Amino acid sequence: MTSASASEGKTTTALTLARNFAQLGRRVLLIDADLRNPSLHRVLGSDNSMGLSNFLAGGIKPAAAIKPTKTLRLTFIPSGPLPPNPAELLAGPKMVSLLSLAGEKFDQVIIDGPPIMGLADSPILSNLASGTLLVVEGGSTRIATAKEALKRLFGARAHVVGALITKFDVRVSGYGYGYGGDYGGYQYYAYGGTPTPQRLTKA
Amino acid sequence: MSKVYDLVLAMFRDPGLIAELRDRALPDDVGLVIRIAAGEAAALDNAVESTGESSEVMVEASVFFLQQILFAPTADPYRVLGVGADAAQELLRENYRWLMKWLHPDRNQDGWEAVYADRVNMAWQDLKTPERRAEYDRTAPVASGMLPVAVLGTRRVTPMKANHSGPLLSGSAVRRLPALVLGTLGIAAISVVGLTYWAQTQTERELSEMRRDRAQQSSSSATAVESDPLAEVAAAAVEAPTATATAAVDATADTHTPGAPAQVQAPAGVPAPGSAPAQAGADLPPPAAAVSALAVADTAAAGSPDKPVLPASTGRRSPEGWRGGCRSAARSSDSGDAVLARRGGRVFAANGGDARCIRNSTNGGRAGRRCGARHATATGAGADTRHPWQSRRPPATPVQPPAPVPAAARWWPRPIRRRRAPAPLPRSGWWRIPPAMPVKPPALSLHLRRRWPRRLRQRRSNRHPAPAPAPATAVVAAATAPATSVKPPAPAPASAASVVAAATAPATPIKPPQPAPAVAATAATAMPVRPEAPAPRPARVTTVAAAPTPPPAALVAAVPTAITEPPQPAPARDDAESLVREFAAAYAAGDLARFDRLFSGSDLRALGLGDMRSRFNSTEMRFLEIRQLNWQDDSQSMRARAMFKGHLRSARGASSGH
Repeated sequence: MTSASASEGKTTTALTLARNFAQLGRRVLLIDADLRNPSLHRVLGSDNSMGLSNFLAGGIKPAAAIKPTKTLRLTFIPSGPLPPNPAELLAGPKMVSLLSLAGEKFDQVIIDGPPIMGLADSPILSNLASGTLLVVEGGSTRIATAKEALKRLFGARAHVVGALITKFDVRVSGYGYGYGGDYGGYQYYAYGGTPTPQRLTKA
Repeated sequence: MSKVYDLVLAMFRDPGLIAELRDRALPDDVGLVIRIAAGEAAALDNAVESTGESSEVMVEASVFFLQQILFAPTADPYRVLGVGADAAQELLRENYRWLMKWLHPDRNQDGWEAVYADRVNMAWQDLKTPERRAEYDRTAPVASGMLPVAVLGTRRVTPMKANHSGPLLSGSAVRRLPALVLGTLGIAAISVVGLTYWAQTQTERELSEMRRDRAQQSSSSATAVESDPLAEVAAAAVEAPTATATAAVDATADTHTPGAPAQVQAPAGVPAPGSAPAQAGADLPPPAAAVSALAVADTAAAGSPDKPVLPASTGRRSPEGWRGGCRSAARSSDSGDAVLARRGGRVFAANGGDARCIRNSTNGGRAGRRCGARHATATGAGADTRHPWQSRRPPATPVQPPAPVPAAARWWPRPIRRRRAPAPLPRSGWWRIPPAMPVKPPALSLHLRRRWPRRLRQRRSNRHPAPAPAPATAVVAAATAPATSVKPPAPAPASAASVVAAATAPATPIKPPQPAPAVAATAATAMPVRPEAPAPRPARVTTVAAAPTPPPAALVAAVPTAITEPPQPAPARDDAESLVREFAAAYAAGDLARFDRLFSGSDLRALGLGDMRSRFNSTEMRFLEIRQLNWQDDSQSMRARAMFKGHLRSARGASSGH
């Protein structure tokens, strides 16, 4: 799970996906691989003293980094203390070993990665992962930026399974063909009774 | 240093080699790595001693190697146990033992590495006895050590081929495709409509110009068409300088009333160019000269010298008054005659109700306004010598009042302007609508157009200065009314005038009025007569119509005339005008055979007028126009002739049907 630029909704999307998979009955491990600006522990209300960076640095075993969540079958690994060389750590054998073990131990491993543009972390992680999902913030991300991000992902031989538009507002964007806010039936989030998408991060 | 240590350490330092090593066969001594991972001290010391790495690095590298190579998701039981497919059973057992020492859940408390113990046990269950191993070998899908399952984990680094086989149009282009297509079509349609409209407008403008031009050309003959088509006679021009006319009048006056040349001249309003400029004024009637000449002729015919010549001097003014020399022609057209009179550089052509005045640039001012017109009588027609211009005197024969001029027909000359060539027909094409020309029968009027350039006219006028005597060419007169009105000739030189006057004199009493609309057209050419000749050479008279009495040339010759003028050299004949006159005569008489002969040139050559076709091609006479018919070139001449003949036939039938 990555995005072109920062704060486009990667963490929210990853957490939502992990929760959905956990609710489907699968064992899900959520890894906060953003070793530069981690936010998953804040969203989940956990501390970040021990996490992925510790494991990658060789200090602890994987079991020590895993933290449970309130959601059943959903565990997560926080980022841990910010290391000075995140790309080196992520490119090392520890990350590959962790993913291999997690692939054996869990049904689904979701990595919340750093943004693509300007950093080398996401291409490394996307090369390790079996699929990469690009998060695009609706109404904010430039098309050229998203295209460049995709270019970099393809350069790293990532398997991009698709893109996901976040923060999408039908009333603002209108989607170009006149399906504006006036057409209540076409609002994507209108089924739950709330016309606007509920911000899941506050849940 | 064993080779497997190098592989282990290399893969540990570069995890990118995982995919490469997974596809290769396992090295021989994987058991050593398994022992290191299991924590055997001897193997670990051996490895550390041979590689120089720390024991922790060696353990981690060994564990990593075993995880990624042996426990790869697609590894088959042989690879999971760390052996090849042809390994001994003891080696299988040995590896299994060390693997279970490493992966046993009792020895891995956190349970993370114990996840591989299940795979090791499952592999051992397949291969622990030779029977099971043979059974597995018989049913194994592949013997490469890896199962053909989708690889999970790091992928092999393969050069990515650039994807050049993209769609022809991008998504945005496809999305905008309808708008683009529709916009292009719309622009094309708008441009087509605009072009069509522009072409229509252009064509309409050209057509309107052409129609206006044609209307201007044809409005002249409207009156003639309405009154009587066959009675119209084309005009001939008379080269008659004013001074000559004056001299003629003088001569005539001297002949009959020797004492009063001034009384004849001055009231007649035909002063010499320099002698009496302001007497008659600028608006004196142009036919005054002709009228005076007529009076002279009349006087000569009556044989009484004291017959009043003066009444002709005033002339008959039109209600608007005389404004120009062209009015003479117009006046003559009132009585159904066609006169083309040229005075000193002005040409007045009157056909029916139209008068055409072509200004020559040489004469301007008052001298050019005078009109010396000579008329030749229709010989043998029994026409009254009195001219209707002599209104003060009651005519001997009842003169038919002039036909009222329709409002549409303009008998006054239109302003002199340089005529443009008629607009060419628009070329045919899908954008040009072929013009629907108004189909009108060709009018029975012949227009002589002088289309030579100005410079040529200048030279011509210089060649024939004003006082030069002009040949007394006769004008064909046609009688439209039963009471045939015959214009007496206006004598240009005294000799010719007297000749014609003598010719008309005997014809007057014997000419009865024509009850039927007889068409009498005569082309008479009066050659200048030498004064010494007692019997002047008779004019070559050609009678083309069934005139009741042909002009008695003998009479012309019989009448002696007193020639007072000095002999004038015979000037060059105006062939073009003579030609037109011939044509007009043939046309008015309805003589088709003669017209054909004229056209073919045989008759013309007989007349000494040359070939008409070559004349048409010359610049002197560019085209002969019959209403809307232009004879310009050889290609059109035949067609024009055909139309002309057809019309002649129909006109004949109509006239015979009466």
